[in-house]
This record gives sequence, C-alpha cells and structure tokens, in this order.
Amino acid sequence: MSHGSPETAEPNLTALLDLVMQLLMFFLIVANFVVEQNNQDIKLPEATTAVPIEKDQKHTLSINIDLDGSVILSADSKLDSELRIKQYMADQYQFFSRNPDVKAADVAVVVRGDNRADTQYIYRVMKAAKEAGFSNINLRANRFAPGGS
Amino acid sequence: MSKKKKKADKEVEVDLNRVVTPMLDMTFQILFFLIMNFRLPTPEGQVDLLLPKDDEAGAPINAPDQLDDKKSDEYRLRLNIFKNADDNQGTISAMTWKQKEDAAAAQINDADPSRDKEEYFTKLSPKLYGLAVKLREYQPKEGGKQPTIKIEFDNKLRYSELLKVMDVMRKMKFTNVGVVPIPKGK
Repeated sequence: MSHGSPETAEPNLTALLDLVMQLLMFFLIVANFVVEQNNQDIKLPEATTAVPIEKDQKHTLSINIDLDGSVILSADSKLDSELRIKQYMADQYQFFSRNPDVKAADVAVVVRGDNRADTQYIYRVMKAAKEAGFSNINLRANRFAPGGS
Repeated sequence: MSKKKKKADKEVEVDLNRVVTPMLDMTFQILFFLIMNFRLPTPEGQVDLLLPKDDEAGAPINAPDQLDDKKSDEYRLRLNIFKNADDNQGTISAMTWKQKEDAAAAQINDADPSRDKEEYFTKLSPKLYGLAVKLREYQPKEGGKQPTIKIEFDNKLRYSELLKVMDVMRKMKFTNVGVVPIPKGK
C-alpha cells in the first residue's frame, strides 16, 4: 500500500465571502445612524391622510414627546414641566432668529408624539411653540391603514 | 543567482487563509452588529394642524391666527373619554357636535360602516364612522368656503385617538381644523 502526498480539501469560501460582503454593504447603506433628531423609540400614531414630508423644509425643529409627556432632548435629558418647555421653545426661537438666513417664524416645528401619550402633553408643546413665535407646526404620523377605536 | 531568486520567492509566499480569516471574523461581527441594530424604516408623514388664536384658558397667543374663524362657519366637536374604566382610559366614549361655542350640543351616534362604498370608511369603528356620517352634512363643496372645526379634547384623551378623528376629518376634505382643550367648568 503506497502513501502519496496527503490531499487536503478546503471549502471554497469565495461565494460565501461575496454574499457576506453584499449583505454588509446593504446594511451599511440602509443603517439609520442618527441623521435626524428623530427618536426611534417614539411610537407614532397612524394616519392615512398624512402627507409625505416636505423635502424643501430646510429648517426644522423636531420635538419628541414620550409616553409620559416629557420632551426628549437626548438619552439622559428630558423636559417634563410646562415652564421648562416654554423656556426651551423660546431659546430655540431666539437661536433661529439670530441666523440671518432663517426666518424663525417659518421654521417647521415637527411634533413627534407617542401615540399613547395624553393629548394635553402634545398640546402644551404646540402651545409653547406658538407662544414662542413659531407658526408652522405639524404633527408626524405613520402613514398606515385607518384603525378603529 | 538562482539561489537568491528561490529565497526571494519563499519570502513572498503568503498563506492566504491566514489573511482572510481575521477579516472574515471582523466582517461577520460588523454584519451581526448591523443586523441586530437594523430597524425597518416606517413611512412617516405629516399632518398639518392649525392652532386657534386664543387659548381656552384665556391667555392670548400673539402669533397671527391661521384659523380664519370670522369668515366661515364654526363648529365644535367635543371628544369625551371613559373616565373610570382602566382598560378604556384615554379612548373616546362619546362625541358631541355643536355650532358655535354656546349652541346646543348634539350627540353623534354610532353608525355601521360595513355598507359604505369606500374601503377607507368600512375599516372605521362605528364611532368614527358615525362622525364621518355627521361630517357629510357639512362637507364643503369643491372650491367652497371651508368651515372651521375646533376639536375640544379632554386632557386625558389619548393622542392616537385625536389623530384618528383628525384623519377622518382630513379624509372628508376638512382642512381648517384646530384643537383646543375643553374649557374648564364646561
């Protein structure tokens, strides 16, 4: 019985590598890194008549309101009192007013409220925005089928 | 000369398997991270809303009024909620409709949506369909003057419920819609 040189069998990884790379590219492109001020933990209400977001709105102020009615500024910063929300809105209006290229009143205030929140909390933010001087207020909703209560 | 060449060839030899393995490991880690953090983007849209000039509590809001309520008919829709039942908290219990603030209020009755020709309406709850039926009476004609509708909401009304009502109104071509809290003591 003769022993020749040992033959090694290796799997061809080329196809697998191609596939993995394609998947990687897909997820890298689709990955929604914090490009907007949108908080993805907010569960938006549904409205079929919601129109697509106007792309020409250059200056927007996104306000995320959680289940408890607090305005979320960052992961560890929230505004939970009416006074602080009013102050925040006034500060934001001042900030936009200082920019000569922006007409502060035309800045779109985008209210992203959690669908389980009480309406009073959404309203107090809208009211604070209007009192601060903003006049363009719109609500965000998911464009899905109608639901019954 | 030939010895030198052989030596150079040996030095250049690289085991490709060794090079690819860590890269593959890292690629899989990145892929795993991205898959775990992937969320299907939801199609967001916007609902324009108008705020009335004066807060019902009495504090005037100085910004120019977008609700042109002097030149058009004004209606008020009040949304009442279940107060005591925990399961129903925040959902609409009854809706009343009235012309002007001091007019008599009329209850909006539930209606059966199953016979409606339009698919949108067949999916509505009897309560919301009842509202749609009521709104048909006041629906503005094409190019006609838009009536103003102020939705009076209970403080504890769930936000999704308000959006459902607004959705029906927009479907019925009412665009001059605002929200105000139910005035205190009324």
